[in-house]
Amino acid sequence: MTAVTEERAMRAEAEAPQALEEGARSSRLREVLTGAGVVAAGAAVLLVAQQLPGASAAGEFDSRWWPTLIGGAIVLLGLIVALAGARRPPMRDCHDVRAAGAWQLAAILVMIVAYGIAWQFAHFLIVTPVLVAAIMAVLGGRGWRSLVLVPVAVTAALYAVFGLLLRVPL
Amino acid sequence: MNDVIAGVGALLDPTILLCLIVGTLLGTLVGAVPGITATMAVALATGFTLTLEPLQGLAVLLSIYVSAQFGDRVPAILVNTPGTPASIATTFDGYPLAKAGRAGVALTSSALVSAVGSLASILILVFLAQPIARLALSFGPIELFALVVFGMTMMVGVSNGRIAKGLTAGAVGLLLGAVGRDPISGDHRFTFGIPELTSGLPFIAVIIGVFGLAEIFNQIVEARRGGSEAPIEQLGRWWPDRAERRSLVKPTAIGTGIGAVVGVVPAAGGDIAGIIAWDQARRASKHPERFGKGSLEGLAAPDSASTATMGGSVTTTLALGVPGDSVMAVMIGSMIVWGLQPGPALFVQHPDLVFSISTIMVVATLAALGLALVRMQGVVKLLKLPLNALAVVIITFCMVGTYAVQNSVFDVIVMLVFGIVGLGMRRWGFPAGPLVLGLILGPLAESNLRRGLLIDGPLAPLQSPIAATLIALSVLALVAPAALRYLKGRSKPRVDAEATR
Repeated sequence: MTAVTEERAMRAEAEAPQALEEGARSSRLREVLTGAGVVAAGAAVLLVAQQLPGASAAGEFDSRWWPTLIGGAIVLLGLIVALAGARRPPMRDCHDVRAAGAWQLAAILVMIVAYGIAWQFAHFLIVTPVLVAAIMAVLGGRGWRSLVLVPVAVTAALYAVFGLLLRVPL
Repeated sequence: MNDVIAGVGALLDPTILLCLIVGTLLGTLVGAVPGITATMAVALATGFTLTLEPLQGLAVLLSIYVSAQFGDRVPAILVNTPGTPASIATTFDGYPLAKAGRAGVALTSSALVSAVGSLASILILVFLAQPIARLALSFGPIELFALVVFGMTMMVGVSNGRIAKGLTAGAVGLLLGAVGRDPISGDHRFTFGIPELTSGLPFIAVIIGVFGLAEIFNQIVEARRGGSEAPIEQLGRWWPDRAERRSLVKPTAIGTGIGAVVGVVPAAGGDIAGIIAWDQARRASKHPERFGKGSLEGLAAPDSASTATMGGSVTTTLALGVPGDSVMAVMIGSMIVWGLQPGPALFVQHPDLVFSISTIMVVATLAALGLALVRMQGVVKLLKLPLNALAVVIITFCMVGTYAVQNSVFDVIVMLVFGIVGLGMRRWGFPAGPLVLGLILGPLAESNLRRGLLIDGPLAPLQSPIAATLIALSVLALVAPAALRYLKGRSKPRVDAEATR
């Protein structure tokens, strides 16, 4: 091992407990906030459930009863999520979000909404390849295969399965 | 006997054969592509199968379910990445075997033992489904409610220690199931003046959103799909020799037995069975030291176990109306749309259905085996499919498939919303399975509980021995993992203290 790599390894070793502690702290905060969000959602359910029409014939087990029961359960579970997360945050089983990935997803969602609007005015066979090509481009597709061949092939497959085989009015 | 003839005879329609072929090819394909799970594939296929006849649709969905369990071994063995969660334990010995130049033998052995597990499990469906359904037919409203609670808690109980979050997801699902008309009084609830919500949330759109779209959205924001390993392209010898074939017998028997038992337990699927079987086969082996380093025994046990869960899962789903695993949760949604309400009454109304389904599963198993045994170098190319191509195919099929269910743009909007909800759930650690289960079984749970309480009073769940047992088992399933963790935590310092003494 060279002196530089040795020094780097020692520094990493020294920084590791601190990084772990910071990770655990942010994970705790995240879990507490998640639990608080669940409690708020449960409280909102309880509030809306009280506005529902009650059916006197059903006595105490009327239309409001089930949503109220579930709303109460959600509040309770939110508290448990927050307390359990504060005590021992669970291991995360997914990777971090990339900023570029989040932007790509936002762009795709906007494109889908635009596609939905455009579909009201133009035929499926015209708007769909445009959407597919746009998604491919946003996700890094370049060249005629990604921007022409894939959009045409996907549109043709969709039209063949749904339009021709299943007779869905596209 | 008449039911057997009627059930098998109903499949003689050539379009059903075509559906089986399409389903088998699709299942093998999606199984082989890391990032598409069997649940996601069945959810995607739901969009175009709902317009088919029930048996045609079942042929497509069941053959995807069966053959995905064959296809998912390919990336597990060649790239060290499970194609679906059911092949997690396949990677333990499959990838070391491939690295040792025995990928061909591993792939063939895996296909053979998977077929054995699948065929054995179908016997459970044939012989147990109707007796279980007959027993469940005597259930009243409160027992049916307890059964739903049992099914939901089992699904939560196996959600990787995230019990509170699993229960929260289940509760939200039950709440979503309350959208629309009250099952008893007919009052509108949570419809917010939207006419499309009067008959409830379109659950197929929700299922496609949380299982199909959310998964691909997550891969986009992470931009990380499958493993980073390059696929092993040198497959080597294809057919196992005599000694190798003989070494497969014992672990396959262990795996099949474990899978059959795990499959009957609601919500417990191939992933759990595979890991348990691998561990048990290691304990029973003459060469436990080879496990994890490229042992054919270590490959045979989990692969036979995960496919052996299928028959039990289908049995629980059809006979009790409680999904055996997450794929079955999605399939229940399709069956309801076809007018086939899974549950004890199904076999009274359609006694031949169990034989139709068993025959579909046998043919799908044999077709998937045949496909798996063809030496396909092309399958390696599949493992290199770029994310953008996968994403556009899934997004567009989700959209058009959801639209096709009722020709409704509203459904597509619901699917998109639940795609984002599903992404949020995934990022914040809430499992999607209980939410879908709550949505589907919510109206059943609510109407039965309210009826039971109205008829027998507030103590009704405790007065019925069956309901009380099911609720006690549910509580046990939720409390046991935490209690075991606590006991382990207490015994560890004592062991450490004794060791240092």
